[in-house]
Amino acid sequence: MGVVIEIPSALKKYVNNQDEVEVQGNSVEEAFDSLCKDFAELKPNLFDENGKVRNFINVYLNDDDIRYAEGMNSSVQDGDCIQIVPSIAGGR
Amino acid sequence: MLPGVVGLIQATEIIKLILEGGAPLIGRLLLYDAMKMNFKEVRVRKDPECALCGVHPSVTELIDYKAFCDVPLPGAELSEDIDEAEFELSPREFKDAMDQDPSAVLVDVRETYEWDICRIDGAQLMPLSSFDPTTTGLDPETTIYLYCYKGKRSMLALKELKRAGFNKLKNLSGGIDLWAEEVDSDMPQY
Amino acid sequence: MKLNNEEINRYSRHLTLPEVGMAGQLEIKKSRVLMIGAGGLGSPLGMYLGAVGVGKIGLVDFDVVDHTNLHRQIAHTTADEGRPKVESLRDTILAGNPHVEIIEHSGYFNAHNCLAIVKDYDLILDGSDNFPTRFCANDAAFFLKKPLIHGAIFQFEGQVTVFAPHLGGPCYRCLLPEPPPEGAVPT
Repeated sequence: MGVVIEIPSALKKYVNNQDEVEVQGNSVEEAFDSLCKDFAELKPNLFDENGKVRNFINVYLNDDDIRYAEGMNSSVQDGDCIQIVPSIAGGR
Repeated sequence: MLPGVVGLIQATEIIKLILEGGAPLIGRLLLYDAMKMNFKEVRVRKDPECALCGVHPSVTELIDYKAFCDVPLPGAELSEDIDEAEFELSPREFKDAMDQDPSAVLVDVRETYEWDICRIDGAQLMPLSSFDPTTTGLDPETTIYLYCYKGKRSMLALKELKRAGFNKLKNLSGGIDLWAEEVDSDMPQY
Repeated sequence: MKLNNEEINRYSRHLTLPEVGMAGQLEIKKSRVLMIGAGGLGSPLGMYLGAVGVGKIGLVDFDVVDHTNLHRQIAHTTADEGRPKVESLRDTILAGNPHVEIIEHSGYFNAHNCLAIVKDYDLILDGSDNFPTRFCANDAAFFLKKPLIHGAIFQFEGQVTVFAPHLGGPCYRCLLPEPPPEGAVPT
C-alpha cells in the first residue's frame, strides 16, 4: 500500500489516462518525485522552472491544502490521499 | 450538461443563504467529476496572507484585472523578436499562394478531435500538443503552410519551426474558421 | 411585502415546507441576486432562481446568442440566435415567472462599473468564463461585503464554493492568489 495521488482530467493524458496513481514516499515531495519519475511529461505541467508547484494548482492532502501543513514537506503515510486541483474558470 | 449541474448547485446555495438554512459551502470547495460521477470536497481556508482579505492586504481598491491576469506563458516572451505580420496570409491569399506553389506543404496543428470535424484537403495533421519542430520530417526548403482553428496555435507552431531553422513559413490568418467563411462555404464551422 | 393569491398558489409547495414557509418565501421575494454571466451556468441559474421567486435578478453579459451555445445554454433557443444573452435569458425567466423583476446590465463587468452594479444586490453569482472577471467579481464582492457564489467548469469537471470573507470565510484570492499564465488554463 502507498499514497494515492488523484489526477485531474486536464493532466490525465500525462499519466496514461489514469484517475489516480499510487506511489511511495514519506512526504508530499517524495510522492510527487516518484510520480514524476514514472511520468516525466507530467513534471513541467505540475511544476514551474524553479521546481515550485505551478501557482494555479492547489495540492490537498487528505482534503486540506498543504499550504496550511508543511507544504511539500508535509509528511504522508500509507493510505493518505493527495489531490491535485487546478483552478478552472469556464462558465459557458 | 455540466453547466446545468454546477449552476443548480450554485442556485441551491443562493436559496440556502437567503433562508439562512443548512450548511453553506463557505470554506469548502465542492469538486464534481461527471465522468467518475462523484462529488468531493476540499477545505479552503481564509489565508491570513491573502492580498485582499488577509491581515495586511496589498489590494485595497479595485485594480486593472485585464492587466493583472495578462501573465505570459513561460517561453512566450522568447518569440517577441518575430514579426507575426510577415507570415500571415488571409484565407484567399493563403489559397492562392498554395495553388501557385506545387511543392506546398500544408500542416494542420489542431488536435485530432478537431481534425475529425473538418480539415482542408491535402493537409497533414501535427497536433500542437505534441508538436516537436525537430521531428516533423518537414523539408526546410519547401514552403510550409500552417493553420489551426483561429490562427493562434499555428502561429506558435510557426515560431517553433522558425527557431528550429525553418524560414519558408506561412500562417493562415483567422484559421480554418475564417477559411470556412471566405474560401470554402461547404466547410462546417464549430 | 405580501404575496398575492396567485403567488400563494404558485409557491404553495414551498409554503408548506417548514424550512421555507411564508416567512422564507417572503425572504426569497425580497432578495436581490446579481448573476455575472448569462451563458452555460447563467441559464439554469436564472431559470431556477426566477421560478422559485427571487424578487430581483440582475443579469450581466456582453455577448449575443450563438448557434454553438444552444446545446448547453438552455435558456436560449434557436429563435434567440443573434440576440443579446441578457435579453434572451430575461424573456425565458419572465415566461416562467412574471413576478420577477429583471435588471439588464448589458456589457462587460469590469473595474469601472462593478461596484455600481454590485451595490444594489444582496448576493453575487459568478458564472463568468474568464479569470479577469472572476477576480473583479471577487474584489467587488469583498469591498461591498456580499457573498460570492463561485461556480466554474472545465470539460467534465466542476467546482463550486461560497466566498464570504465578511462572514469569516475565504475569498477567491485565498484559493487562487495569482492568475495562471494566459493559455495555461483553457476556459
